[in-house]
Amino acid sequence: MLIRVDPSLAQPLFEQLAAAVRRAVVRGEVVAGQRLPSARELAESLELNVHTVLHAYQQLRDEGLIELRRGRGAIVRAEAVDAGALHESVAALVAEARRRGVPAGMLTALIEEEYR
Amino acid sequence: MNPRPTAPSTGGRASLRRPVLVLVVLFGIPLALAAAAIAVVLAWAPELPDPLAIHWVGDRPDGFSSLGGFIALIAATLAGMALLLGLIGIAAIRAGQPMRALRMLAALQLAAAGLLAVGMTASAAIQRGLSDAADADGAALGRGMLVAVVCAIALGALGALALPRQHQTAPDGGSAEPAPALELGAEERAVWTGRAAMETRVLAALLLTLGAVALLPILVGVEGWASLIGVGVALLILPFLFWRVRVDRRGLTTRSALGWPRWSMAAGDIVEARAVAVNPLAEFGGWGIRFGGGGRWGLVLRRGSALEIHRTGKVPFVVTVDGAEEAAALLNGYRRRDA
Repeated sequence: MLIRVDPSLAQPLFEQLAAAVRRAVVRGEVVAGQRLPSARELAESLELNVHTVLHAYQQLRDEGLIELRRGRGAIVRAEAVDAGALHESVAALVAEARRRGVPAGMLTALIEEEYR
Repeated sequence: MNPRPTAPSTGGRASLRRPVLVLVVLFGIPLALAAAAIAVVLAWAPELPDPLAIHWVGDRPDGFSSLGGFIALIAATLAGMALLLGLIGIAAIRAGQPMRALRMLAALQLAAAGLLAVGMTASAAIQRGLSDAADADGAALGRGMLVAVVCAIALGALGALALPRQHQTAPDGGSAEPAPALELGAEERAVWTGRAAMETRVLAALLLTLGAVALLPILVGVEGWASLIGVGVALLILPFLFWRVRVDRRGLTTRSALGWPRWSMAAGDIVEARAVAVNPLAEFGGWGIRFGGGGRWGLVLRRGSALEIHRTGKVPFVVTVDGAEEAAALLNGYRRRDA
């Protein structure tokens, strides 16, 4: 799993970090039940504040991607890996939306409508 | 998947096909025969005279031993020879000897193991029910030895036929192109993490062997503490089965999932990182922490992609890990930006 963060970008560091983990799940680089590096280890490697890493992990937990367990660290949930399998369908959907000139906001609204 | 030169410039390395089968034939079957012979003799123990006849001249026995001594003799001759011939076989493999030589060795190994195991069992068999070993009939032993010879020939043929006829020619892992360097922004920070685990079939073979070591003393009725040897060995090798690999601005860290052992290689010392293909048995003679493989050392846990680290004045280090291309690219990227 490769995680890249760049402080010179406008996007907050915790969001960059969360996006990198999400990408690794989508690309199948992490498996269900796998333990991600501890917040302290990632903070040291990336020269970040531990709270920045924890912020990213909490966001991923709220999204249902990982579980945070005291003492055991961040565990990738099986549901997250299943969601990764949707990657191709979503790519096809977005390509179709682009072809029809449907903007991202409208596609998101359509998806949310479908969930109701 | 790995970028490899299309023309094998160094001619491609011959590697062993079905390495587990070779190990089973060279070590597994002879040791299993030894264990079986010992188990059978121990099962007969109540009916056997003490001392036992262990050597004959003509029809009369002229050498005797206690039951324990006889068991030790079986174990020492069979296990000793199995290990000796087996290790010669491993050496032959590592030296790149043709498969023909290995098949002959396997035939010799199994034939000798069969002759000794059946022959020694037969020498105990003819003494069942005797009160004095001096009455042991040499003629009956002769018939037993005939059976042993037939078994030896059959096992020898099996040993030769079981092994593959030819080596597999694998692409040369050492000639892989250097991994491209990751483009890193001036302020960008990146970390790569990967996991390395012992190959499932090697793990299974290891567990089976240790299970057998733990169970054998119980099966043959030796005191239970002997089983602890298997458990102890299992605990000793546990830290060497699962590893975590990390690449960041500081360099490469390879550490056991249990935290120890661990090796760190500073980014500043690394000249080049490559993704290569590794064949444990053919290039390193086995699995684990290995030396060899074209003057390299490292953590060789499975066949396939590996990260290879070159440092000035040091022997190259290899660790088998998924996603080695990405890890190598990141190391090279840091080196290009920071060096």
